[in-house]
Amino acid sequence: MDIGTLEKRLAREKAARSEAEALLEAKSRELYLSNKELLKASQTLIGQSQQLNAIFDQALTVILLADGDGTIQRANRSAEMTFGREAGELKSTNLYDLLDQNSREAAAEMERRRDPAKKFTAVGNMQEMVGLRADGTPFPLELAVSVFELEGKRHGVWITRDITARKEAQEKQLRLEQELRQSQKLESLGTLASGIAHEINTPIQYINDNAHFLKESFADLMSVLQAYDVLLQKADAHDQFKEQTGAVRANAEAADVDFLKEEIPSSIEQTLDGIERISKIVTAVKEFSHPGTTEMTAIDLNQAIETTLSVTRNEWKYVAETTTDFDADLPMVPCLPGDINQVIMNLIVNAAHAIESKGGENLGKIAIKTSHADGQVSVSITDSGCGIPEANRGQIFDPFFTTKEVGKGTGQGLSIAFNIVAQKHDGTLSFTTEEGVGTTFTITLPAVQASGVKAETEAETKEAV
Amino acid sequence: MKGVVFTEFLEMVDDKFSPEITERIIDNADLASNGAYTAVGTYDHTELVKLVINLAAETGAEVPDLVRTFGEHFFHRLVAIYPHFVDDDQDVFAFLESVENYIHIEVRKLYPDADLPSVKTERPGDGQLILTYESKRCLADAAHGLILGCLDHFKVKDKVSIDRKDESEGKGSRVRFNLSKAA
Repeated sequence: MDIGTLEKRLAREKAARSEAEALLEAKSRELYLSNKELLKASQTLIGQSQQLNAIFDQALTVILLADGDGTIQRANRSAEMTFGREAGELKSTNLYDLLDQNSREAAAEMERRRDPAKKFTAVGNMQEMVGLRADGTPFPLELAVSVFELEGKRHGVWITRDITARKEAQEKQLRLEQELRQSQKLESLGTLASGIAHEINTPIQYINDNAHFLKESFADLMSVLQAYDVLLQKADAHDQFKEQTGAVRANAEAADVDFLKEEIPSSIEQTLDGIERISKIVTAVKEFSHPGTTEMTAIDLNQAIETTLSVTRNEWKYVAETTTDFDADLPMVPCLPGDINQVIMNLIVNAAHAIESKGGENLGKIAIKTSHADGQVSVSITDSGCGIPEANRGQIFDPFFTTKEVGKGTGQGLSIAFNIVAQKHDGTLSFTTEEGVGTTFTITLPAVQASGVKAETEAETKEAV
Repeated sequence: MKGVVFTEFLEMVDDKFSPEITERIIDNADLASNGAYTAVGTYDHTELVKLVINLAAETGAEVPDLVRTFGEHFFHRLVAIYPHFVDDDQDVFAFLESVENYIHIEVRKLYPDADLPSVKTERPGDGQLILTYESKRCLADAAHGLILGCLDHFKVKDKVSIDRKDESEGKGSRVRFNLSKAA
């Protein structure tokens, strides 16, 4: 190669090197700028990722991400707390194992409703289902399912919320509404009963007066009739007024006067008896339905029990006989009369139901006894009913617990009774029971006359009647 | 067109003819780059056409033959420069099939602005491969040479026949190469 050729090549090589260097510099700058942009993008992505992770982990809603087979890939903090499982444990768990059998089928049905043509499908609205905690305890939850495809693989997102608290609140509200309705119904019935009792009272008064008038008048008439008999005998003895005495005797026979003389007094007695019973019932109804007072009032518990027995007679008279063993020296008891009447009524009605439930041809027995000792007054109500099974003994004071058939009990009676005795009167309500033999409920109330307690006097009681 | 094509072409002229001829074809071509090429640069492909035409004038050889010869030479050089693109244990047809979907992708990673030809393949039957070259630069002869270089590298030049069919009315912008392995 000659010098000229070499010089040309050298010149070209220099030019090529300069160009290569310029290219290198340009590429270096491009690389730097790309790196800078990449770093910025990376930082943005890291920030966004941290933000999303924070949202994911701090969300109050449970978020579970699973693969196409349902195996959990990622679970947030709420999921751990809700299902009571560590994130590591959740990761190897199948989504469906977090639900009870019926809910598994419902969730699978939700997933089947996805549109296979779409890469992302949110399947329907949230549905209520039953979840299982780590120890198998079921709890209510709401579930929404989304299915999506990522890099050709199907994934599922379950978003769920523990609705235990909401359900409890709803049930509580429902209970309160039921109680309110029941209370309003009882109040209406009380008002109605009170009104009817008042209306009946007036005619009863004059029926009673008239019956007494008839009783006394008939006694007077009997004297007159006896005088007539003497007169008839005298006329016969003197063989006078034969025609008239014959007519009198014929009329007396037609009227069956001898029978009337015998039966009218007992009819009047029975009438008076009936009137007295009606009067007692009316008095009881009035006392029982007397508008409740929020003030503690000293009452005679024996009297209150008599009243309640009268009011509830229809509940027990076909299934039981009642006996009372009242403590004649029972001190007055400060209480809310309406509430205590309700407690006694609930216990008597329960006793009658227990006897009815036991069955049998003979009438059962309800024995009510009052006593006092050490400043406490006790009322025991013993029935010869079916007794309370061992398994139910811990629940009988729970609200809405009932073993009675539909329509016979709301499961509130004993709960309300317990609440009235324990909470409102600082007393106790306990029971002893033997299955197949019967049950005794015992109420104890403090008999101490608290200051400010109003004594319900006999006059007030009579006035109420 | 990437500078490596030019530098390798001039190397080939040096080797197969003489440095003097190389200088003359550059001098007579009136090139914008003045023939100063760097492998990583990008140049107008018409400069290569001018150089080839000048080489043909210098040597009396046909332009298509020179371009094909350069293609064959260039394949061997590419294997020497980028050995990791070629697996010698690979079947030659499998390698040709990987040009479009692997090698060209790797080239674009190095040179995002590279304007590469389209090299589609299909296998109509056992021992047969159809390779369709398509480029506005009309360098089907270079493609032909590259295929020959490839067959030579895989030592199957005598066992594979090439039937070439121009589908662009002789322009060389779309040419189908039917490759058949001897039974």
